[in-house]
Order: sequence, then structure tokens, then C-alpha cells
Amino acid sequence: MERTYIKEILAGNASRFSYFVSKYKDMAYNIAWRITGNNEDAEEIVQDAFIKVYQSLKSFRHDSKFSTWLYKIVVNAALSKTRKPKQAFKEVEEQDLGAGHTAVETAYSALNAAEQKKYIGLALDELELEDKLLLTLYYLGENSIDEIHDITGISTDNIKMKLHRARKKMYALLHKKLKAEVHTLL
Amino acid sequence: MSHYSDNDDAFKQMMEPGRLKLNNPAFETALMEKIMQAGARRVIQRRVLSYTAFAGGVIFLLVAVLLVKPVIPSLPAISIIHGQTLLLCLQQLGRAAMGVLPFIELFSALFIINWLIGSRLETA
Repeated sequence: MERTYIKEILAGNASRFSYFVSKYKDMAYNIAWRITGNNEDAEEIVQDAFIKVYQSLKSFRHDSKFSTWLYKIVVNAALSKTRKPKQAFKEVEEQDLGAGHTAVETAYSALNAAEQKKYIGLALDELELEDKLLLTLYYLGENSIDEIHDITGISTDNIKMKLHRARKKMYALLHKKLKAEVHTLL
Repeated sequence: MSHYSDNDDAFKQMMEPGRLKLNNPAFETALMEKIMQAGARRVIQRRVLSYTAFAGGVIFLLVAVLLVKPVIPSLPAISIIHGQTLLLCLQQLGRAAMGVLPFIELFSALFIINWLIGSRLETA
């Protein structure tokens, strides 16, 4: 369906582009927001990315998914906007939480939706830029490892390893933040 | 979901509240306005290119006719292959005029016509 819409847009039906905007704006915004950390920059990046995609649609060869192409532009734009080559690594104890996962999940599920959102946001904010980007792309954006490779340029093996570590860090951070709730449950 | 983690679905579910929404109702409208403007500009550019290509083609054909004129009496001698190629090139020019032909093809068509005329003149 996307191919047909792209053909229509290239034939001059620009209004058809609204399909792509509606479908991908939220995820593009998620990615931009997680990198920049503020709403104005994220919105601007998403808007510019969509315009760039529209202007270069003719060169889109369908080698990858439309979303992969768009997210790649968003990631690059957001990274250059923040101009943070490497964010200071916040040391997170990668303790073996094998037994603690369940406690964290139980404590977390006892929270209401707003609290869950708050804690996830807080934990994500404390992660290294690359970690939160990978978690966003994989778990929220539902991109495959290969697609994430196309978007970020990181090798697939590295992505798997980094995702695994990011997940552990996320659990550790949630454990720290939900300490009170975890202890109540334990 | 993946082979390297044992509890991916639970984690994914846990991450779900971290999904943000672009809560700006004017965003999509403003963006689509810009897209429509860019679209309109693209149509104008395309027309300008088409007309330029068409005008270029017409000028070239006029020049070509003027060049061929001295050998017109020998035109029946043009081979069928040359005649067909010429027709093909004219068709390409027509397509260029409608804006559906990239410039590179237009120039290759013009090049072939030029070569055909050149070979006719040489024959004459």
C-alpha cells in the first residue's frame, strides 16, 4: 500500500503524504525526544525530517522500509542537533537481577498508568543516549535488529549485546527507583 | 521476540508506558501545509523543465531540418533503421515535452538525431 501511495505522491498528489505523517509522526517524535530531551527540538526535527523525506522521495528505492528511512533521518538530525558525540556514561550497577526481575515487574505492575509512565521516563532518562535509543527503536518502535542496524549503523551483533545490557540497566534503574515498592512486596 | 533474551515480552509490556505521543494538534496541519507548498513548487519546476525541454527540442529540430535541407532530395535513401530511430527520437522528445523523460535520455535522443543527420550529410 505504501508503494502505491508513494507513486501517487510522485505523480503529484502531495496530500497523500498525510498517510505517512499520521502513521509515523509519533514514533519519529519518540526517537527525537529521547535524543534531544525537549519537545520543541523534537517537533522541529520530526517536521524537517518529513519535509526532507518528501523532497527526496523520488530517490527512495524501497531497499528498506519507509519507516527505517525516516527514522534514520530523524536519528541523524537529532544527534547533530544535540551535538553530543558521546554522553557521559552513567554507571549503573549491572548486578545480576535474575531473581529481582520478578520483584521489579510485580512492583511496577502495581503502579497506576501515570506512575508507570513516570518511572519508565525517569529510568530511560538516566540511560546512556545509545541505550535509550536502542530500547526505543526495538521495544517501542518495534523495529527489527536489521532495521535498527540500517537506522543507526551499529552492527547487528553489537545491537543484540547492547540491547541486552540496556535491558539489564533498565531493570537496575527501575529497581533503584522502585525500591520502596519492591521492599513492600518482598 | 528474540533469541537472546528470555523475558522480552514482559519487558516490552513494561516499556509500553514510555511511548510518547506528539500532543500538538496543529503539528500535522502545519506540516501538511508545508508539504503542499513544496508539492506546488515541484509541479511548477516540473512544468518549467518540460517547457524548456520542449522548446529545446523544437529549436533543435528546426536546426536539424535546416541542416538536413540540402540533402532532402536524397531522403528516400534514408534506411528504414535510420527512419525508425529518428521516429523513436522524436517520440522521446515528445515524452520529454510531457515531463516524463529524464534529461539524460533527452540528451541521448538529441545525440542520436545529431549523429543521424551527421551521417546523412556525410553520405550526401
